[in-house]
Amino acid sequence: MKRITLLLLLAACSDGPPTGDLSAVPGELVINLQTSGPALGAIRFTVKGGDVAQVTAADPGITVFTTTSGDVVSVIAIGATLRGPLVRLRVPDVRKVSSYRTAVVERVDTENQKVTADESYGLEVVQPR
Amino acid sequence: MHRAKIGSLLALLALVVWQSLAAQAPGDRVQVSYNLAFSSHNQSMWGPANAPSNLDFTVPLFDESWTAGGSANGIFSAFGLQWGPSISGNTSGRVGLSFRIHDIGTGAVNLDYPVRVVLDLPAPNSFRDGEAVTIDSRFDLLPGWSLGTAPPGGALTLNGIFGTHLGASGQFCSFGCPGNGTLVNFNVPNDPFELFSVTSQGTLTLPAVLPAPFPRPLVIETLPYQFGGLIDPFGPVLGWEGPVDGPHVATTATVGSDGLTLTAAGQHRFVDLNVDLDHYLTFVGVPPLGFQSNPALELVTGASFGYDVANLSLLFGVTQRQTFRFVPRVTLTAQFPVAVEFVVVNADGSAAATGTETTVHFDVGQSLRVTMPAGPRDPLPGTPTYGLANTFTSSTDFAFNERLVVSAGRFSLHTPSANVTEQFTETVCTLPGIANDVCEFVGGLLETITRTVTHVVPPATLDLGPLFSRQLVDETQTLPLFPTGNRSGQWQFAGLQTFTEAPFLLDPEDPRIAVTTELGSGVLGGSPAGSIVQVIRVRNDGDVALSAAALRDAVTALLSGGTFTVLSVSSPTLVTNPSFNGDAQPDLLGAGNTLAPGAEGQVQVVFAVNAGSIYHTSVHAAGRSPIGTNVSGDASDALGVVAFEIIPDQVSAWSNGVLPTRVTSVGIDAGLVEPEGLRLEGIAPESWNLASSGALILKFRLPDVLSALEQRILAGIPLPAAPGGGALREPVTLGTLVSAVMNGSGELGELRVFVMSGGSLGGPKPFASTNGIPRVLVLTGSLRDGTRLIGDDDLTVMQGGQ
Repeated sequence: MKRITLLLLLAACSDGPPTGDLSAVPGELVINLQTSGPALGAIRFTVKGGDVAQVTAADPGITVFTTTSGDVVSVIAIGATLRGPLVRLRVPDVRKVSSYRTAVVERVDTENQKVTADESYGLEVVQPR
Repeated sequence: MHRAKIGSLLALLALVVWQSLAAQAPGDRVQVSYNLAFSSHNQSMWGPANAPSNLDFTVPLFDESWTAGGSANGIFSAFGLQWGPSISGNTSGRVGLSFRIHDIGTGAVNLDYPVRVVLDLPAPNSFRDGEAVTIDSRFDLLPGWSLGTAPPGGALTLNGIFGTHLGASGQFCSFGCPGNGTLVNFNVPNDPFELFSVTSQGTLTLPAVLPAPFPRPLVIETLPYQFGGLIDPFGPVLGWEGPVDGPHVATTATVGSDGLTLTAAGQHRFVDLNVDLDHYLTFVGVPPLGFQSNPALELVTGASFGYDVANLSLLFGVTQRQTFRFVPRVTLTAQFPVAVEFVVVNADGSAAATGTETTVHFDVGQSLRVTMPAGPRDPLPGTPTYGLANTFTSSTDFAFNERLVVSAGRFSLHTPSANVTEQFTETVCTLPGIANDVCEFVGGLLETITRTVTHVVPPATLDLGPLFSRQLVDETQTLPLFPTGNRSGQWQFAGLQTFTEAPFLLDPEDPRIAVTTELGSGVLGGSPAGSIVQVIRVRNDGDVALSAAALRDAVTALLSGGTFTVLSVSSPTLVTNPSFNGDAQPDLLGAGNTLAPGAEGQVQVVFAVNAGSIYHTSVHAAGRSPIGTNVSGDASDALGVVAFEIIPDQVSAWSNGVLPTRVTSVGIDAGLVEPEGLRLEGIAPESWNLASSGALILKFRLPDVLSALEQRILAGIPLPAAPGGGALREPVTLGTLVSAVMNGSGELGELRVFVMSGGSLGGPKPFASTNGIPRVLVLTGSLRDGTRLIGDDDLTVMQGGQ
């Protein structure tokens, strides 16, 4: 009986979803760069659709910069060659992976030149294996 | 040298500057106030500082005499005899009263005089150096002022003189008159006497010798004392009634109608006596003057004779009055660091003083007109020292009112009644009714008989006088105590402080405009190769906003073939004129700009130029201050653009080879170039030679040039102007780069270059910024005549020895 009461109090005081969803699974999501063309040198994109507590590089060779405005997280990822996992997102509930949306803003190739062919590059948000 | 003027550009940059703050205008004024608490206490009432009174004088109040005579005859006849009295009398006398004051202390006058001095000055920057400016001044009395006094110590003595004579002769007739004889000869010589003395410390002394058990002399130390009061034992004995006190005036201060002058005034009626003087005189040695009789005469004749020498009734009042008046005059001594030409102006506009001094004295209330020194534009401080000059007036007087009623020379004689007995002897007839001459004929006898008849002589009274009865003195008089003699009673109240206060400033405007210009490589300035960047900085180095400023920029290409085209005009702080083309439209800036004090406006003009010419620029900046003063500044620069080539234009980044270059003689003779001063990306040439073709061949160490190029690129990545202004170029930091890229104003590729070359965490990374990218290398140096020069050419650096 005492343990149930404590959980209810914690739920009431939590900054999490107001529904008091006790089944949330906090964890990490990964954003992958999918490309059929040459590797990129840098990419700037946005993430929205859910809370993001932290953004970290998915690889030591990648440098990541982020800013947050409202519910939109802007991310810059820079590396010698970018392909595959770019960044990791720490989120309160990994089950809501499908709610996260990404949008590419700009990218440059490894020669620091702008890449304008949008169709060759895409981002996906997945749970790490 | 072939030199030809082939073109010119006159660019007029109009800086219309409106000051957002309230602009100064001639006549603008500011006020500076000073609160000054002048005070001086314990000043003498009789002169400056602690001047002694030196007052000891005697003033006669009155000195009156009388002489009168008269006679009366009460003799009558009865029974053949004369009966009754007769008298002839005379009276004379003198009575006087004087007032002595002595041993007067300084008293004390205490002044507190807080004022606010207001200087009305020309507002800063509302006038020019060399102009005459006026400082108006005034002062107001503040609450907290006081002018109080403490009465001085001192002693007052009332002395008198009195003498009288009374004489009478007459006779008392009873059964006849014996003849005139002296009835009385009363004589009191004129002798001084002291009525009383009183000190302001509170002691009343009467020299009267009162009968025991009264003290002799009588000293009363509890003033004021009320003679004739309920508990007063002395008044009835002395014949005194009324109050006596020591003089101690309490003053009340007021402010005059001018709001500045102080007056303290008060009065004290400290004596108000009714004295039975003849009665009192008997206590100071004068014989009784009241009714007397001559008992010897009564014993001899049974008659009585009485006389009244004099009755003197004195009403006497004394009031001390004091008035002190303080008329202020606040003085200002202004100390300037340099001599100034000045005029002290009176309120009516007349000149009170003129001169050229570092120290100027004038009264607050006057105006000071100062001619500002021409040339210096720094604020001229005037350090004020304030004093409180004044005219202080002191006056003290006494008001006396005296009334003396004298009645002298009254006599009264009285003779008693007397019985007068008469004995008659006569011859009568024994026969009743028969006459003596026929008595014997008719049988009677004549006989002698004796008869006694007693008559009563009535008593007689004879009064004479008073021979003199008059209100001898009835006057009110004022006797000045101070000022008297050669003392005016007016001086300057001493002991007042002077206050040296914070300086006021006479601050002429100091409009200054400074302009610089520099012609540099367009590449170094972030512009395309083949261009030059002119940076014009116009700075307000003065202390007033500048309006209607203008920049005139004349650029001349001096060598044949030189042309230029305006590519862009930009400014982070000033509104530019988009129509500016350097020719038909010379206005570089639009309206609405402000160049506040200390502000700098920067304009960058990019010109497309041709190699082989020397470009001169001459900039003239002009501005106008809020009060209409025009200021200007000039700057110039020159830059030669030489034909420079890198051969070849593609090299391996990893080679240790030499980078050959050349400066051809297109436009500018390469022989005029100072070769040892040339630098390619800051690197000096290893060697050079002037080829027979006229070209200057230069060889540089490629690694050094590439390293310098890398550093220049990393340090010189151009950033867009920050919204709302800011420097055209800022020191590049990772943060600023990231921020610029995040908000879309920066290049992601440039950020990558920065990060991958070691600008980010993680340490240096392989050289990458120029790899495979054509980069413009910049040659700098000078011609032999000192004219700076630039040249630029592309170079592509390839990895792996391409």
